[in-house]
Amino acid sequence: MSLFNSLRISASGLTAERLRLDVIADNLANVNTTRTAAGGPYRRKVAVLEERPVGFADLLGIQNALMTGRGGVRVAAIAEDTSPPQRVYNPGHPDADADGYVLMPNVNVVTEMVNMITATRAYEANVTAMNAAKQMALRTLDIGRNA
Amino acid sequence: MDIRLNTVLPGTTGTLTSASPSENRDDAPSFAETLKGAFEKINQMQLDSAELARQFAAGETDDLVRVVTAAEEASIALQLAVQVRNKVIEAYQEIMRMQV
Amino acid sequence: MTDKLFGGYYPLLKQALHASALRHEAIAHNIANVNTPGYRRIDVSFEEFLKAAQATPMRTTDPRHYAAPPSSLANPQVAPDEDAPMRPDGNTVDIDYEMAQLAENQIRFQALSQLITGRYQSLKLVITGGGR
Repeated sequence: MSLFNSLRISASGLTAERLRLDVIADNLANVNTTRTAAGGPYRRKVAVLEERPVGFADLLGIQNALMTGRGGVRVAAIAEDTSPPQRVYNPGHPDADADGYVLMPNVNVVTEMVNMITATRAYEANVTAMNAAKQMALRTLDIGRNA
Repeated sequence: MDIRLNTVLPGTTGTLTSASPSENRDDAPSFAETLKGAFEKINQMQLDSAELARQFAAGETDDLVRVVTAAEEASIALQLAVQVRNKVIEAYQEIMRMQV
Repeated sequence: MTDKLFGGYYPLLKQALHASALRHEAIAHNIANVNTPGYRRIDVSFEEFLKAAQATPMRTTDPRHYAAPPSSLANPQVAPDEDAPMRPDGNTVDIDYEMAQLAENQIRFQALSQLITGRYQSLKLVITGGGR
């Protein structure tokens, strides 16, 4: 029953998707990084999304109680992908081991591009939802004005 | 209320009974009471609407729909009350002008 | 006096408007969680309650009684949608379906608010007799 709460929910979606895009951009930028401060190749990062629990205190009024616990989305953590790095045969590479294999980051460019597209689409969908909420709220104000 | 016909029309028999199913008409509210009750309800609508507006201004409620519809309903009810009051005053003045 | 002013189908319009605003919240929540693994989409049920309420007319004990339409005000409920198909990651949100629901709900909200405005305008016209 609250259009303002809808704005906050859509805003949480925008924030989460933008964070996902940042993580994807990081992965793509480091697709060939073999040296990191922690040693070893770059490890793919994953943004873990979860439902954002909204406490009752944040929801104003009894009429919003129906949406308790449903406050949109948030990034719970930015975790590291635990799959092993790829072993690529490249004997000329400065970081090649004795057998000529280099440990490359476990980043798959195609996967990242697909994720980027879904994140972008989700971002745009959240923008549409936010505009809709704004339009509906302004329309509510017109109920009194033109009558 | 029963009226014996032979008191009104001599020579006839029978009674006139009022069509109302309840015999006792005294507990039906008078015009003044009805009006007073209605005005009290309208006043309550004004108070409720003002309370909702206060809550909205203070950030205690988010429900725009309820605030706006309550404000409109209170406004319309108030307009009705004003018009009724005008008509009642008109009627009173009309009666006072009557030559008895 | 004021009951007649705001009786009839007007309370239903208000309830429907509230339900529509609530539905937008639910749709916004679904859209925000389109990429959350294991998320089940939620929906608002309101019209189903109305239909069920209107299917049972008021009881009449005398042939002269008028079968008045039942008081069919229902409270909207938010609940997970059990019938939604699931993606491999457990999420049941179809973004295209949500966007369509969003558009439909927006139009419905606009229509309801216009109907309510129309009722207010009629009332004001009748009360003031056309004059101000």
